[in-house]
Amino acid sequence: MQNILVCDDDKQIVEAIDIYLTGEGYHVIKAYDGYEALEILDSTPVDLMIIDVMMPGLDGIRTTLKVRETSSIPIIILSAKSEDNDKILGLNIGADDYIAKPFNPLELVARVKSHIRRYTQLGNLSQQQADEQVYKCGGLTINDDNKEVQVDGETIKLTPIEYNILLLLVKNAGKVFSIDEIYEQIWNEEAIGADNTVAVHIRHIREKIEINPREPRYLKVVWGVGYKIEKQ
Amino acid sequence: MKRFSALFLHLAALIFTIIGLSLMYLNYNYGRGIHLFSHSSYEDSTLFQEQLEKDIAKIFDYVNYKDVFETDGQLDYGKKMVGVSYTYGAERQSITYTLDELIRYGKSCGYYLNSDYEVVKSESTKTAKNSDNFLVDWRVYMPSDDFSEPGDAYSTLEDLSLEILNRLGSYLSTYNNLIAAPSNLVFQVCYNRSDEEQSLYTNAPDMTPEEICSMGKYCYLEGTSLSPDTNISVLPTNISAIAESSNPYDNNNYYVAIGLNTDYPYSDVYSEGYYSFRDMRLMYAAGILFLAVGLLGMGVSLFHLFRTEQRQPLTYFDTITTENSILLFVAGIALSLFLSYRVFSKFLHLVIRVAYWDYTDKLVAAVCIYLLFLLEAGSLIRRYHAKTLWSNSLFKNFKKFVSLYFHEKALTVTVGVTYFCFLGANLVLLGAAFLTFYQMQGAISLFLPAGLLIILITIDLWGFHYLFHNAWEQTKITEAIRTLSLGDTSYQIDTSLFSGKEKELAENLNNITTGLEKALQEQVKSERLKADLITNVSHDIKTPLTSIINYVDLIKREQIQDPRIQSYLEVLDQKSQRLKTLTEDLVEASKASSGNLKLEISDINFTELIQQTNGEFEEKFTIRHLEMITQIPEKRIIIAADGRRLWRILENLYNNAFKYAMEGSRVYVDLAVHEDMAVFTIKNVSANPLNIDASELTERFVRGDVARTTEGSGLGLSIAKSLTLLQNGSFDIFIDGDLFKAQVAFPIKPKDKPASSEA
Repeated sequence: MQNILVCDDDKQIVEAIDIYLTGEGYHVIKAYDGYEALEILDSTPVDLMIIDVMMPGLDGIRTTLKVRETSSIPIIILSAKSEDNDKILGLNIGADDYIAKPFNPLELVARVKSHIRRYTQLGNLSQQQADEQVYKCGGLTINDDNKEVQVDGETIKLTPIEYNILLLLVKNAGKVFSIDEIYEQIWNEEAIGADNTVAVHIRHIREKIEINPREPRYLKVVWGVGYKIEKQ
Repeated sequence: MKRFSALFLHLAALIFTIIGLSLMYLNYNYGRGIHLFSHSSYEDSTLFQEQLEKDIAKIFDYVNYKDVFETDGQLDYGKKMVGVSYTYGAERQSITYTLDELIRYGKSCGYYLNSDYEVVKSESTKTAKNSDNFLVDWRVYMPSDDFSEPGDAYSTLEDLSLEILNRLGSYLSTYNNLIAAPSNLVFQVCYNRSDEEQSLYTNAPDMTPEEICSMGKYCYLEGTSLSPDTNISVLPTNISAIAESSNPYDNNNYYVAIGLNTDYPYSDVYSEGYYSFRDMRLMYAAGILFLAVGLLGMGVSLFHLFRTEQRQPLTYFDTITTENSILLFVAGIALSLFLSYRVFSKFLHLVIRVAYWDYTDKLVAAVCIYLLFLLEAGSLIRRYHAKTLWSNSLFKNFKKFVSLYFHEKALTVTVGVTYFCFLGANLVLLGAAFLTFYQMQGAISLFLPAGLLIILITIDLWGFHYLFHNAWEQTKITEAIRTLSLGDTSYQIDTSLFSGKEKELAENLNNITTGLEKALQEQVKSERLKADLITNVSHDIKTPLTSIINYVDLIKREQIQDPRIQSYLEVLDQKSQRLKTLTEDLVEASKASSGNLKLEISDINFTELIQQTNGEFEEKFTIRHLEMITQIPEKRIIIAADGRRLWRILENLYNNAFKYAMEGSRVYVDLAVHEDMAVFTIKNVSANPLNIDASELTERFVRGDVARTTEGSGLGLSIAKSLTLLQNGSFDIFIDGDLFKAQVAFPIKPKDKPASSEA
């Protein structure tokens, strides 16, 4: 059983998260400000921390910075601030994920699961890579030998075209592919334009590999340019 | 159209008038008066009277001179004409001259008879070969000469030959016209000395007087009657007198019969007169008709032309000042006169007889002037109707300027006095300098003028400096105002070199600028504060909202069977979700409309973006059975924009279509290139009636459905519009019945690099 530290000055929110996570079989430790959270971290082993930003006393940002001095546990920031700047700030100071309030409880649970799986399975995955055709990008793993795609250890079923598109993007992680380029590479045909096929496939892939397809972690949309897999 | 037809009619009427005038003026009888026209026939006309009077005179000339020049009915050149005497020394000598001699003498003096039997003197010949005066003893053609004065009896040979020639001319004229040639006019003049002896002068010896009296026109006069028997309306009154005076016998036994054959069988002056009188009357009548029709037509069409002219828009010519237009008109007249006399008439002279040159020249000039007058009158009418006749006149402007002087009396006096002082000082100093230079003696005559001149130059330099300084100050102030009007409120004028009124003006302008700058900063600050406030409020709302959403979800998990509670929960769930989107959109809308956003502008392929967006929405649209019909060009269309924000614009528009389009209808998505703009259009048929103004839809919190039952914050279009404007695009919404159309246009990046795999 994993320990999850939930820290928010709003007791009802902590309570609700507690109910959801306990229901998934996690042990939830509650804290109501940054100092409390730091104290608990010192005393108890914690596998994941969910923390609010705006709190009296020590706020979420400073708490995260403090935690990162000693620990590498997954940290999910939960904040009412939903602007890009806030998200970028949170992720830059060491948080692993950023969820804006009001959140979808299911999404929160999914993300928690994903982070914990990655955190715990990180070690043994790296050992397999020696002799197999394996491409990795964060929690996304593609084994080209058995055509298997895993996200945070969970196997995902993709159609052959979806698989090929994802493989192309993962192999060239960080590079942006336009719709026409993807079309030419996968179908081996001259792109004729004005066709939604590629975009629809991409959307399907996102729906399968992303927790929240609107805010993808892996397969990102560069609007007006193309698609890419974020290099991690 | 009406205007052109009126103009055409007017010109046609003008041509009619010209034709009428020409017919009347060019008639050879022009100038004889219109009463000619009232005579019903040639024989009643004055023309005829004149001719008849002339011929009667000729007939009696012939009566008088026949016996003088003829011998046995033939012209006799050897006949003795004149007897003269002169005193040679103490002797008195007499000479008689024959006709032949006198004619030859006359010829040698340069006289001869022309084709009309008139005596003409050729210029080249010298006169008065022999200017001696003779005493004329007798003249054969003046049998009963009584010299009233002694001098009358003396004459030169030249005068005598002239007398003879004149009489010979008259004789020949009658003889050739009336007797030798067939004539329509017949005459018989018969003087009886006694019953046996008579002198008959006639050109119709075979006719009896009764026959003559039965001709078309006749006149019969007997010596015994006082007045002639005639059917000629106006007879030369002196016919009885002439007949009596030509009577060689002392009795009243004579008669004169003159008749005119009005059938005109012969071609002579009368037949000619008759025919030309007929033609002339015809021409006159036609002329009067043409003139009347033309003038009437001109009047009517001119009225219509001017009426239609009122409704015409002003042309360029109508916009120049009234006085200038009149000046141009006058100049135009001068030019057209010049051209018509110097150029057009020369061309006309090529085809027109010399006799009509004067008339045509005048006609061309008059027509030119009249056409110009039409133009100017039209312009004046248009001006009058547009009420610019006065308002656009130089005089009005002039009056306005002059009234300025009276309006600002104080300024007029100040400036006037200063100017005249300056002028006066200049004149006085210059005058004084000259005076002293010429009047004074010695060194003072050099130094005093020099000093005065230096003062003069100083004053003038100061004047120049003053003007220059003023101009410089004005330039500075103008520049400052221009900068301010362009929006730069930080500009301040350096007033250290300014003086007087301008200094005050510049300082006040600086104050205005400072005030504006402050106000502007306040406004920016307050906008930012507002955006911040909205952001903060929304943060504060989000925390409790999180709890609401979470606990609603938790209750739902409790699997409560009661359908009423389930429906309540559904409402709670929906409304809390709406509140969530509302708070998020509110922040975005306030930031977008206040411009409080950092844009990441880069090269965006618009076609790619639309394909991506289509991919995102294709499946969503199938939920409501919406068919998406896309028309986008195959080539790349590069615009400079923030990709994520542009996606947000399209997302809002697609979502809008998704939410409000009628289920099962089609949504049209187009991307087109119009000149240098990439225009994106999305069209759909609204499910609810769009009884709302297009511009209102982009207002915040306005939605197509007034009842607000559907999801959505009512901020989507507002955000889309603000974001588009922030990225220098244009955003328009059109509503046509239930058809909703949104159009987003961005300028295409000019340096559209050819397809490269640029990422």
